[in-house]
Amino acid sequence: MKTYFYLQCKRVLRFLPFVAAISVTLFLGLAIILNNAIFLDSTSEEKQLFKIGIVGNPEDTYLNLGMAAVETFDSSRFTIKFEQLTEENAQNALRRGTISAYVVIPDGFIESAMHGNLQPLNYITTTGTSELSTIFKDELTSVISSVLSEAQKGVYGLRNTMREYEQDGSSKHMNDFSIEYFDFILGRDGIYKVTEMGVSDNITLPQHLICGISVLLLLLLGLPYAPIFVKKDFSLNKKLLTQGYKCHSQVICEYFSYFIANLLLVLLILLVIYFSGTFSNGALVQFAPSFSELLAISLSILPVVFVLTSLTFLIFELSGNLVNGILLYFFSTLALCYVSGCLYPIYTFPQIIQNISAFLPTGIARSYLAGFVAKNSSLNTLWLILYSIAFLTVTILLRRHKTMGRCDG
Amino acid sequence: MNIEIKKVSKTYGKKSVLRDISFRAQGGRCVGILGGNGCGKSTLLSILAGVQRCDSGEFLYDGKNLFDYPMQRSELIGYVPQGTPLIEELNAYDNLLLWYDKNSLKKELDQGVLAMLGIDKFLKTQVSKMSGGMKKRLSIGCAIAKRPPVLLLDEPMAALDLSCKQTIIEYLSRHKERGGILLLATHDVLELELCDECYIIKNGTISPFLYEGDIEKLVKRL
Repeated sequence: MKTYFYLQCKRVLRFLPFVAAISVTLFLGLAIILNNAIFLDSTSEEKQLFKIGIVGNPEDTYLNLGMAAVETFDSSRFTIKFEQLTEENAQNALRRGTISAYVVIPDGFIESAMHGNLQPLNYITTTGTSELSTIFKDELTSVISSVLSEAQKGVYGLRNTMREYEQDGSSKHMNDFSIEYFDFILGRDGIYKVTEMGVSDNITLPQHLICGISVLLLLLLGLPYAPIFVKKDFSLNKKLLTQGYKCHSQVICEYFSYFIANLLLVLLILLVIYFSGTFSNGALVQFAPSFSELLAISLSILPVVFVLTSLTFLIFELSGNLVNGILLYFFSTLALCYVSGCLYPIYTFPQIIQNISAFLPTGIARSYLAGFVAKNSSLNTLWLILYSIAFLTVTILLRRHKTMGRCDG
Repeated sequence: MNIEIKKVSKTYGKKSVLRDISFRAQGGRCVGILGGNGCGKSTLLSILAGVQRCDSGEFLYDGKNLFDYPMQRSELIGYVPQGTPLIEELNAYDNLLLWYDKNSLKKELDQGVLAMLGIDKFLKTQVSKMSGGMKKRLSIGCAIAKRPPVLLLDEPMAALDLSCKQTIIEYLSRHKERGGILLLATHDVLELELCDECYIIKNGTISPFLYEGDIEKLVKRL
């Protein structure tokens, strides 16, 4: 069986330069896009800003004071920009997408706040269902509601109290108290931190995207191998059977040759990205781990390569011919990756999909990579190995069926 | 040396493909198995080669049931299946390496059967770029690596040109002359001429057929 394994390796590695050229180009291109779209752009405050329209009485001094305070003191000033608009202009701006939402300050809001009662703010946004921005919009609603409402309520409450004690509500002390109060209630860095940590699996959005897309691309690495692994003719396997080479030995030899090729490919891609990051000094790719870290990444990615290779191998075994194989492979890869949150953050999907994703091999692979990034240990490694074994077992059974099953003549 | 197939039966689900198939073959003889498409010829050969298991029956080689001795069977039986039992992405030499050790391969290529089959002329050619005839000769070359006395060939000359057929027939004739046994599943008239005795499989049962060059008679029986 050693010779069969050697020949399988030789056969698969013949394709490696061709597959490597495609894969490295694809990965490097993607790394540069991600680098520019996520890392470099993330430093630009302007591109992160959510513009919020404020519809209300623009003459109101206290309302303007509240907005100015939010824009000046609150940590949300890095993500939110307010714009005073009429309701009609706000609606048009929302439709054009130049603002993310607008808030209607109801009539009598100031008066009711002066008496310690607050009317709810009306927050109007587009009907995003599964968009990433929905998450941010929810957060913004909470920021605006709490900041504007509580600030107004606090200032007026303080003024009333001071009046009750016959203090001058417009004195310098009053202003000092107000500013202190703003500082106090607007120091909400903790809220933002919690929200960012909770994007997915305790990793940031760019990290989530990189983990998800890595799973997708690792799966797509197998596509160029379709012509050599999708079999129509099992004559060789039948002949091997007659010489005592059982189906499981054949499958294991073929699988490990493919696994080695994929592993070499992953290492090559990591090296290319690493050197691109080093030589371009971060301009092309912001990925410059040390060699020991690179080794740690390579080792940690092993279970993912293991499971994705066995999944690919099973799909090829299931296919009856090359066209079917490529179609089955392509669509099952995309469907699995989509449902597993590799293309969009998983929390934007309905709960039932999230539950299913947790059991899918691609979902577990994504979580595993996320866990590695966030330095969380979990049982994902075990699940990945179990899935790999299950896929290989099914592949062996299929091979048995195809070689030892019904003959044509 | 002789082989005897005794009451071999095989069913796929409820369909009985082979029922009590029995015949004998002596050393130096070629037995042709004839029958229409899907009659069970390939199934019978794959059972004898060890790809599939039969439901019942025996395959005796000098009185020893080879179904019970798979290792010995792999030494005694050479099998050439209907398709292409080769690794398409590799060349002829690599494919031969799967079945031969390096020393014996060199010897066979220099003056042995591989040279006789003309395989030495396309050793470096990738299988996917070979003609049908080259592939078939290479398949036979792989099957005879252990010099098995019994060769099972499933339509070995289908869709080959005449010169290629001639090369293969020459080799098979020599195998017979050396006292080997050939079991041929065939439709081909040239192959039939090589056969010393013929059997027809029809509706799962086997019956002897005397081929005297009358194709019409044969077609009526199938």
